[in-house]
Amino acid sequence: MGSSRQTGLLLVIGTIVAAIGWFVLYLPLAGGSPDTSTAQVAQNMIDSATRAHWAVIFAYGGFISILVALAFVARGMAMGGGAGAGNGNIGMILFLLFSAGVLIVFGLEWGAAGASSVEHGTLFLDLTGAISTGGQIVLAIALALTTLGLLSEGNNPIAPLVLIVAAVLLALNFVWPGIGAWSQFGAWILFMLGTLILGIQTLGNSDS
Amino acid sequence: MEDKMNSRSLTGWCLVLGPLLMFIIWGLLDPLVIGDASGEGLSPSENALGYLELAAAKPAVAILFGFLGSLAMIATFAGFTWLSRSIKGAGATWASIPGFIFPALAAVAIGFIGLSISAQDLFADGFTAAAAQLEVVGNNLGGGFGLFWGIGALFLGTALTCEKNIPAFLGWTLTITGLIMVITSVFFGGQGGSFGFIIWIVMSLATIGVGINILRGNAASGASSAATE
Repeated sequence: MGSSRQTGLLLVIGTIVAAIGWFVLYLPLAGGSPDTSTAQVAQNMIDSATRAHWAVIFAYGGFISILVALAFVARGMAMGGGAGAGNGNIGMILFLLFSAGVLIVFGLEWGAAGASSVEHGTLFLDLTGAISTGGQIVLAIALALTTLGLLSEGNNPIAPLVLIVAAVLLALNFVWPGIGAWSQFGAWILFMLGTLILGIQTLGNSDS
Repeated sequence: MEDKMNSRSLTGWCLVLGPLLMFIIWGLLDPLVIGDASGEGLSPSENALGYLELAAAKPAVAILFGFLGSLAMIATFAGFTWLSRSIKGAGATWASIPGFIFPALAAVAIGFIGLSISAQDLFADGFTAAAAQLEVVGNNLGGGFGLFWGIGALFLGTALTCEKNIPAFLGWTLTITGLIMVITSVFFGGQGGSFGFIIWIVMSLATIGVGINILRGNAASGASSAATE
């Protein structure tokens, strides 16, 4: 299996798995509304621990697959020495840093699903919320640099443009927390759409 | 053996000493010297408080063990990372995934030791509840270790087997134990109890075997010329 085929598969499969994790498994636990309190989400996760564990595996497992693939894309540019090499180099390191944060969030969400009390579950979820809020800006910068690099190297612009809009929304969520749930939701939808298109494009290139 | 330290021998030493020291410190010394606070039916807070009370009796030793154990774990992950990134041949595609996962796991281990030391400091200063919460968070920080360590070992073992520069049974052992770690993490959660401990021991022995092979320079190129000069 070639490396670009591997990257394409990680992007496509990772996005599908993450989407199932977030929208099918996790969203009902979160009450389907951003207004649901953290304590209520923790209670829902404890009550449906098996579902919550699968939600964490699918959502974060898929997400980490996407991040690994994006790091490979950035590394490919960095090693290629082309117009996007500088952006790719920084993007690769930021994706790696962000992945470490996602691994920590994975552990804490896993702990929340198996927590012995709502108090502990809430503590874990509050921490994941804090890490995720800060992490958005890291992901936004990594995405922006990598996608600008892809554009500067003359790649198909559809996926990079979608991902740049996602990066702008992620940055907005960070600097303006009161912007509203639409921005949060839109950022992640566009992020998944962009990675899915990028994965299909990469798979197409690896076949040709 | 290499006479001078270079990146190849450093990879080998990390893979030999990392798992060995983790087992000696966390598997043997810590329960013997500090004590074991875990028990049936105890809540995570009670477990954490129990450990913090035991650690408070020998604070310097507890911090030293925590620091050295984490350092050994980070060394193991660093060794895996360098080994993965040194693979250039047939297994390069397989090795690229562990080359990314293991440094992320090392970062989590650094977070874990930071929280644990802070929890012991808070406990010593009398902030018992906050210390217990911090220790519980620290313990849960590595909730994804089993799954992602397993995935890393699975792909690294496959890459080593493809490379054929290291005895095939070592690559297969890493692959199979990695697969078992993934399955037990997904379906049974946590570290898998006694069975998980046995799997971890087998994986550690295979890791040490890979490290010894690198140090002896048995494989002249590819994987075992790990992180070559």
